[in-house]
Amino acid sequence: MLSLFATLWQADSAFPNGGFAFSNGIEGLADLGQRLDREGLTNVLAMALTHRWMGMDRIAVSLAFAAADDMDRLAEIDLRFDAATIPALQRAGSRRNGLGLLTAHARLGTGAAAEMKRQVETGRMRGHLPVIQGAVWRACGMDETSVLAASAYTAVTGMTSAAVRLSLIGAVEAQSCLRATLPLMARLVDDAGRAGPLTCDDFESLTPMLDIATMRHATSEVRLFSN
Amino acid sequence: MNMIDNQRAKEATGHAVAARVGIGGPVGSGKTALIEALIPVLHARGVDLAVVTNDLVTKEDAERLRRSGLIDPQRVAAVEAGACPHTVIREDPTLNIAAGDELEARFPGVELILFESGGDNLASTFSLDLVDWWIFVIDVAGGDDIPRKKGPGTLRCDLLVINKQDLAPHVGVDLPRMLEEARSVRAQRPVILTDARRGDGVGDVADQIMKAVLFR
Repeated sequence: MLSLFATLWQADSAFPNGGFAFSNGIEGLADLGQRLDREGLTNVLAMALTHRWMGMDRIAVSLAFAAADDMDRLAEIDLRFDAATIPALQRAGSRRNGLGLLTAHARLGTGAAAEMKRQVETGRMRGHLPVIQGAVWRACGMDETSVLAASAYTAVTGMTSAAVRLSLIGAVEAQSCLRATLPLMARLVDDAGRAGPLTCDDFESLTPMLDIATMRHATSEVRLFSN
Repeated sequence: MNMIDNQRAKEATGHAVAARVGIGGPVGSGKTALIEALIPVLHARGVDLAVVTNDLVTKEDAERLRRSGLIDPQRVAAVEAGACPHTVIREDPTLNIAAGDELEARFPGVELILFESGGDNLASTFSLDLVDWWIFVIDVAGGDDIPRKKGPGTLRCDLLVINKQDLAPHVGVDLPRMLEEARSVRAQRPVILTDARRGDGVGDVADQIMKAVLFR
């Protein structure tokens, strides 16, 4: 039961971690004229989950969860994740969001969060969000499946919230996109649990539309979100 | 930040932490102009400072300060507010806290960090997780009824600044009455009139900052 409550606590958008400032490609897609209505947004969420989260974040989360007490190993995973994240703005957003989560937990005294924050500040770690999630959420008492579920869930709720704040879709209608995505999230987290051991060599993503939108967003003079 | 949090922050960062002051208020009230006027005054008093801006849509405020020649551009950090100018300084100030921590790490001698909000309405307030003390800036051109509206920003800030006092006769504002009403709704807590463009009242604002968070 503790793991369940810890998961509700950490997946709650009210938990301060800076996530509200990142659209992770949604604002860039809107600038490209992509329709993000109910069908369009649902498709984008499925694409991001299947072809980015599953091959990148999910692996980093699990590896960091296993290495939560090993700062050298966490730094190695973090650097490999950094190298495998191609769009600069995606990389920067993941690092800043990770530092936001770390900042809150360092203040709260969670596990080794303060030490990890020092590693980021001294440049030994980049502080990517999935790595911080895996290590810090384990220290919060969450089991690995719950950490994966919270990682997937917060990834899509962040993008959904950005679409609402950009007035691309209504706040209620956006929930239908989220509901439609729940079975996919459940399947991906189940598949992750059944998969064999993974390494940093398994990092992969293929979301060209999102990547191009994110790269174009980097040069936009007018933008509401960091990425 | 209270004493316990401050000690925890020192343990977390491994170095002394700077005093953090918020400057909020409606869009166009003169927050950036006030900071531009404060920087040379505080520098002249030997204060080692840095600035974090929260721009809503662009990085205009940060760029304006960086290009001003008033401060080392490296000492100005920008945080995007994700369309949520309230959230970034109150409900979720972690990005701002992290930006302040980064400035402290890069400039170990920094003793004061000013956080400029992206501009919002009268309900805007700062989290005490983020700042030790905060200023709310309104201006006479926004209307002399602003104090009477008793917005949380007007009531709860540590110092209320009424800027653009020079415009009062041009916009039909009874300045003495506006000042009296502001003091009344704030139960006589500090209110300062300024004309940030000309520097009027800016020394008084600096006095308040020095006294409240730098203890000198």
